[in-house]
Amino acid sequence: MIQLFHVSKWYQKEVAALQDINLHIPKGDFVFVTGASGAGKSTLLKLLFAEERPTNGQILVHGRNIARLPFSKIHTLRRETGIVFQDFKLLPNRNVFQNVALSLEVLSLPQREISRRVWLMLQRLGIQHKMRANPLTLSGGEQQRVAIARALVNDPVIFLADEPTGGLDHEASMKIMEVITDVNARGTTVLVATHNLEMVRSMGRRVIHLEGGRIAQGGAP
Amino acid sequence: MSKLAASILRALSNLRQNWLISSITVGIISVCLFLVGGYLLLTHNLKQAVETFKTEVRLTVYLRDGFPQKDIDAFQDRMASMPEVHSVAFISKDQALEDLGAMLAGNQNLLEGLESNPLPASLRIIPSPEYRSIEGVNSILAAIGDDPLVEEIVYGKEWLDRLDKVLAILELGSIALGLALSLAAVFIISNTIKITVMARKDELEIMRLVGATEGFIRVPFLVEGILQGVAGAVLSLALLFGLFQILVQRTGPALLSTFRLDTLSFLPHPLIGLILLGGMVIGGLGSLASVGRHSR
Repeated sequence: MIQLFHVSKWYQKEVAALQDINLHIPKGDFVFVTGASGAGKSTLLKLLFAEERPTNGQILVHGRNIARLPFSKIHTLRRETGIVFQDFKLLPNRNVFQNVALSLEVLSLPQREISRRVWLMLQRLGIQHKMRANPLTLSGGEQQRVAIARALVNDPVIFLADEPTGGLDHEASMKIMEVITDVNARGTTVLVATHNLEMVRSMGRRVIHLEGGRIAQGGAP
Repeated sequence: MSKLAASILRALSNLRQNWLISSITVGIISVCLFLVGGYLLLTHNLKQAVETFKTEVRLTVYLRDGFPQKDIDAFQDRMASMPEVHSVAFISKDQALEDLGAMLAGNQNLLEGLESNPLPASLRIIPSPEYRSIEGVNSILAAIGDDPLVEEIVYGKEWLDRLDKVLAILELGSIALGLALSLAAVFIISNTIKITVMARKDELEIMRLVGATEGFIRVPFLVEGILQGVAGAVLSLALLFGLFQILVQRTGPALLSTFRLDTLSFLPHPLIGLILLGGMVIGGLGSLASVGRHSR
């Protein structure tokens, strides 16, 4: 469960990215976060994986107050959170398999276990035949699948995606959303920040709409 | 597998994956350490050359005539037992005249007119190695200068003064220049490492995003830095050794002997160790500091 109480984020003294956000997202929910550029979508997501700290307010993730999480403990939150970005953030000097394996290497799992789980995840996302490929040689949709595979391979309880279909055509976008829907169906709480209102409408899920750093719609579940 | 072994394996794998930038870093480290090592080699050999000059420090104690041989023997024994003195040799009046005759080879008729031997007996003192300086010689003078047997003590005062000054300048200069050169090397190497770490900031960011601990991120970087530093140091020493061998072979032994450089030698083990340690420490700490800079 994710709860935000009176959360604000100011970047300078004058620039408020988020103001007085109160939010409750039950475990296993699927939520779209929408809003124009600069509305605060990315900041909201960044607060949830402790990339940013709130200026005010409290953020509880499964009962743990991550607004006060010490730097040395952030990794524990990140290990329970799968994160996907519009620009994929894949390492060009590692192949697809190695990029996905990174999430399990940080857990210091045995290599055999890492190989098994990465293979299963690549299979689940239909990109096992690209496992030796350099990510830069893949299409945008394929790269996003690799990024999703990396985010999911350690079975996170929360899945955050910032514009996961940005830059993809409609068909590729829908395939990515199918994958994310499948993730949610397995019990993972999903938050997707997007501009793509057409896709949001077609999915029929809960929508939190942000305007100027405030919740304009969908704060309550 | 232990965490350390896993970190070392990851460091090796990272070095392989980033082989070009790693090679450039090793190259820059080796050039910097080559310059420092070359400088150390130069000062080491200069100091050795000066040390060979110092072995020529001698004192000649001219003795008054008329003292019995047993007094001279006792005086000689007393001097031989002094820690300042390495060895004492007695030159009798006859021996002195004989030596002079040998020096005047071909002009011995110059000595024919002498009715008696005007040359005094003397003691030739070689100071102990640590007393081959102006202070050392002064302490010997203080100990024996007032003895009634002593007529005069002769030593190359001006020469010794000059040698001491050269040594002092060399010592001070080598420390100052060595320090400046080492600082420049540290600056260049740490900046090179900073750039290599910056080039991998995406990797650092992604590792943090997928839940890597700071230790998990930093230890391989530390190992990589140490390995690069040691590789650079080994390369610089190999280069220096090769050039040194060429220099010694190309320069004839006669020329070396003229400049008292026949004792030319490569860096002693402690200095080799210092360069290896320097590479290791600069590589490791530079790497660690650069990764730390990319922490939030």
